Amino acid sequence: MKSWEELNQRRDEERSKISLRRSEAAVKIIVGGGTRGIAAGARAITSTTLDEILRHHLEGKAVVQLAAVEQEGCEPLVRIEQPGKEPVVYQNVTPERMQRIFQQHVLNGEVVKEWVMAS
Amino acid sequence: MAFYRSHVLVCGGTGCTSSGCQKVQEALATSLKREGLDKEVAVVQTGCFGFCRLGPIVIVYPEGAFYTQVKPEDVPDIVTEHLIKGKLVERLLFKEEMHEKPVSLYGDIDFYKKQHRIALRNCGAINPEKIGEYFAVDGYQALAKVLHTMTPQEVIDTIKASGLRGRGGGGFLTGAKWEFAARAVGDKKYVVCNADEGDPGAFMDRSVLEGDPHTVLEAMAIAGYAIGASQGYIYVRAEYPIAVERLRTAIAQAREEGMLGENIFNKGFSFDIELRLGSGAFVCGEETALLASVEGKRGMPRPRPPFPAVKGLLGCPTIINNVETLANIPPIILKGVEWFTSIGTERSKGTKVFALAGKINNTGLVEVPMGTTLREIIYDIGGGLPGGKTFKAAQTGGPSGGCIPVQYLDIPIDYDSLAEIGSMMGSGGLIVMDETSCMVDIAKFFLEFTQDESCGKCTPCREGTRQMLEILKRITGGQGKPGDIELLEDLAETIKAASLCGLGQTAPNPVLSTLRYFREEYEAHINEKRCPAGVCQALLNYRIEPEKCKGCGLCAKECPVGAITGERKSPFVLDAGKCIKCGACVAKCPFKAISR
Ligand SMILES: Cc1cc2nc3c(=O)[nH]c(=O)nc-3n(C[C@H](O)[C@H](O)[C@H](O)COP(=O)(O)O)c2cc1C
Repeated sequence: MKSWEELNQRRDEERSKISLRRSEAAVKIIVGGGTRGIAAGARAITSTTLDEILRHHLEGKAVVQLAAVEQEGCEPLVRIEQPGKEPVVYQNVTPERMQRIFQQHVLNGEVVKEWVMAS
Repeated sequence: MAFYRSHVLVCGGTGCTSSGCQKVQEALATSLKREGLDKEVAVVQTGCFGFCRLGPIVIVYPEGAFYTQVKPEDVPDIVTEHLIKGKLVERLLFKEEMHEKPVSLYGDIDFYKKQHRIALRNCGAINPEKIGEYFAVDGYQALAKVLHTMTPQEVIDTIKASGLRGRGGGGFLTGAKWEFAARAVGDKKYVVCNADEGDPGAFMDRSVLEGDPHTVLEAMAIAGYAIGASQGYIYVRAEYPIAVERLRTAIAQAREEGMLGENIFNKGFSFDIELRLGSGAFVCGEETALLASVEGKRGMPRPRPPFPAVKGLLGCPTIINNVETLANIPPIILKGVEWFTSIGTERSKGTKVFALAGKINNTGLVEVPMGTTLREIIYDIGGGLPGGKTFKAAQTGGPSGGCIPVQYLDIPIDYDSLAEIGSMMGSGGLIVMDETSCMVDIAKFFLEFTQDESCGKCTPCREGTRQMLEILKRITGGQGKPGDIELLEDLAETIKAASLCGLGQTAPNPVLSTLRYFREEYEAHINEKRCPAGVCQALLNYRIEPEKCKGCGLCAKECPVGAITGERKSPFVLDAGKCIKCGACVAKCPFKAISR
């Protein structure tokens, strides 16, 4: 490396790889794990989410977390948290639905109303 | 590029390595692979988290779950419960003594909450074997800033204004030292990092080298730019194999990335670093002895002046700085003088790392602002003394320092306040003692160390420490005579005044300070042939008090040499001729019927 700009670029790249250790992420996507969540396919949701993050270059801006929250009949659950906004919980998420939630909610900021869990 | 949803950090410092972190890391890797999670979850080996009592430590992000004393058998639970289902493994979570519920998250633990980590900022947070992780936390930004926007004099002025003082023991102003070397005339100049760390019990320098080696390299390059040096040496003891290995890796990576070598950032400044391994002689930490050792000569001190800043390595102007001192340099450059001077006390700025050892719950490394009280360190961060024992004194400054008795628990600790009460900061060793510690015995322990480590060049140190040690052995051996205390004091003054280097000049300190605060213990040993703490074996006379003995016979069963006999239900008798004074009977007796 021969310039400060290169160093800055490298810092930003490397920072995105470790940002989840520094709770700097702008979006938190929490997948309901737990025994029931896993049985209902939560792991596939997790990997779809990771793929989406990579595809849209959101490494460092989004974190995926598993949590042992359960709600009978509603699994898999996905909760999306963004600073300054009310968290939103989606129910009966499938990998295909996750792709749309990602596109519409995470990227464009529009809640996908039809899949939001009834409270 | 892979994207991991979770990072599992495993401590890989020397402490956790000896408690088996390697096996835990391997088990994690195998288990993740078996579950098909190796593309989703990364295992990261880091340096020391400082909480050595509870090692091996594993932290799982993004949650920041703090698992302690993790064994390979625990790994499947972490993987299947936490990493697959998202359930924290409660039984492994750290539990604060005071709290009912386990404290799960890194940020919530008292041990860390009360610390202020500058020198240790990256230890346990990044992988020390990947320069990329150092870049991620603003690594080499300070070097870039200095080379692009500051003159050497501006760098020196910044360090001077920060008030940073040497963390290796002397407490000398770092900026002033750099200025001397910058002004000194010489074709070549050198930057030397003192990583000898000879203080028994201190391991903060090792932790920085193991956990964040690049910060030392970056700081040395900045120092080189400030004084006009193009070569640096790190003098590190061969007994630190993990540190040596990580330094080697770091130097190679820094060269590859152009952070060391020719014409760094195309700014016309070149700097490179080599390692020199020491064999762990305490005196080689003294700067002039260290330079001799780097030159390949026997490590013996020489008189100063000339100071190394004027005439150092190979006769050239040289600055020598301690590892922890250097670790403060990049943050000062990046965050500025105002930030740094806002931390600490009037004349001691910033933080200090202490190595907590002895009779304390949370043994390990802690970094606190200068001016923190001993009480806060020992009780709030250190978790107090085990077994509800009472605090008697703390030894700071290792073999060159002294003890701090209970009446000073509330003084703010800095260079000057410690010197005032007859101790010193030293390199930050902090050994806690309770009522079962004998102060004469402690003084003897440290004097044995310095006497053994004396290089023998000057008579006061070589012969004087030997005489003092003989007297202490006599006193603890029950042969003390009236006049011994005065003789010790007399010798101590001579040794302090006449020794060539800091080793001899400070060697009597542990004796002088224990005499200052615990003179009556010395007197009890000499005049009454009694060790009040019950430590000095020659002064102990075990006896079963018949009026307290209930005749249960537990002591007789426990005695390894059959010195106790008797009939059940009537008082037992101890044969002093057979007794080896091991104390096993005292520990066993439910009625406290055995006195010594
Ligand atoms: C006997 C003796 C042992 C020493 N050992 C060390 C040591 O292990 N590490 C260290 O940094 N300084 C040690 N010092 C202090 C060094 O001589 C020197 O003051 C220090 O490395 C300067 O760096 P600093 O200004 O950054 O503290 C020792 C001094 C004496 C007298």
